[in-house]
Amino acid sequence: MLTHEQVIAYLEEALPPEEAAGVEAEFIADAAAAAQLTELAQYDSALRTLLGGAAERARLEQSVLAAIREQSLHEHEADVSRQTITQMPDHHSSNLGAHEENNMNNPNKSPDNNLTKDQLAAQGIPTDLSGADRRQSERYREDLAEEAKWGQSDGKKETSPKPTPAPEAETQGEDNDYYNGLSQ
Amino acid sequence: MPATLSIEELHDDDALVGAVCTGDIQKYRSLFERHAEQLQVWVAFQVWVPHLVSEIVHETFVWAYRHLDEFQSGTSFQAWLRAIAWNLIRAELQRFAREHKHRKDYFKHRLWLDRIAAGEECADGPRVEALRECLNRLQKDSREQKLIHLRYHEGLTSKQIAPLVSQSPVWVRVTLHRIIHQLRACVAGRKTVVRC
Repeated sequence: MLTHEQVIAYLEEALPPEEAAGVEAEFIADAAAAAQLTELAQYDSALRTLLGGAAERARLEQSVLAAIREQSLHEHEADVSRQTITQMPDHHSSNLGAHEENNMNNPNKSPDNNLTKDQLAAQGIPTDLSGADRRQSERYREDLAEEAKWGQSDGKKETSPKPTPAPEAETQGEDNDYYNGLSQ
Repeated sequence: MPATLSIEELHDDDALVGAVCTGDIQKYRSLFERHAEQLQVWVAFQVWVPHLVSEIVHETFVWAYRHLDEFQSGTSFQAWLRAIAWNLIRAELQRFAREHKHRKDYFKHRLWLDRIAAGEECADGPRVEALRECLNRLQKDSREQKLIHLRYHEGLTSKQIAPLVSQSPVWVRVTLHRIIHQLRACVAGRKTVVRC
């Protein structure tokens, strides 16, 4: 049978190791003693916190407020990023729309796309070429114009056209096999 | 803060929660000040490792902030915090039991985990407010009050207290044990069921 002094000494870790081991063996064998220990430990912990926890509470307050401020900052950054990303296509396409509107009344617009010579020059593309250089330059301008169209089409900027679907004859059999497999 | 909240206090909590949800995070400080002490002592009843008590309280308030939109207005914010803390305690102690190999700490917590598993702890956990009232009943400037002060305000061990009260460490331990038993009996007399 454990004494009160042994129990509280065990709780204070004031017992030598051999005696502590003996007390633990008693706790394992004696459920009532174990309950007594847990109850004593509970009150010891609660009293320590209630009476001596003011400084710890002040520290906790600072740590909690710092954590939520940090989270608010991250949320704010995420909001800004999200708004920036969602606004970009609109901004981009409205600029492109302005280009298009200008081009409709602009005598300097190039005949085979919607970019003016000035715009091409601004991007470092020579506009007065001949022969192979001219064809290469035209292809480049076509690519730019195509890219601009993709940007205008659905409000999302795309840098490359969608892949051309394979001829129906090549895929039909595969699809049929796939659906047949599912239906089975 | 009393365990039983008046309608006004419930509304105050609701108003504070509403303000925080609309972006006034400074109001969370008010919520913390209203509820931290009671939650901290309640958690201390459940776990006995001081740093673990602080961790649980910290995590509870941070978790509550992140899920503040899930708080149901008109209900007790303290009860909601305790429910969060209770889940964190269970998870933490299970992790503690897995990871910590320190024999004594593990032993004490294993005893406690056994009580959790048996469902004994949460159903009739002693109330924080009752403990506070019982402490106030200790006679002013009495030997009991002095011992409690030295032990829990000052954080001294029985061995350190002994020369301050001109007694032996054994006397200090036995007397403290007796005082705690008196407090426990006082709390038990005032005990009501605590929701976890």
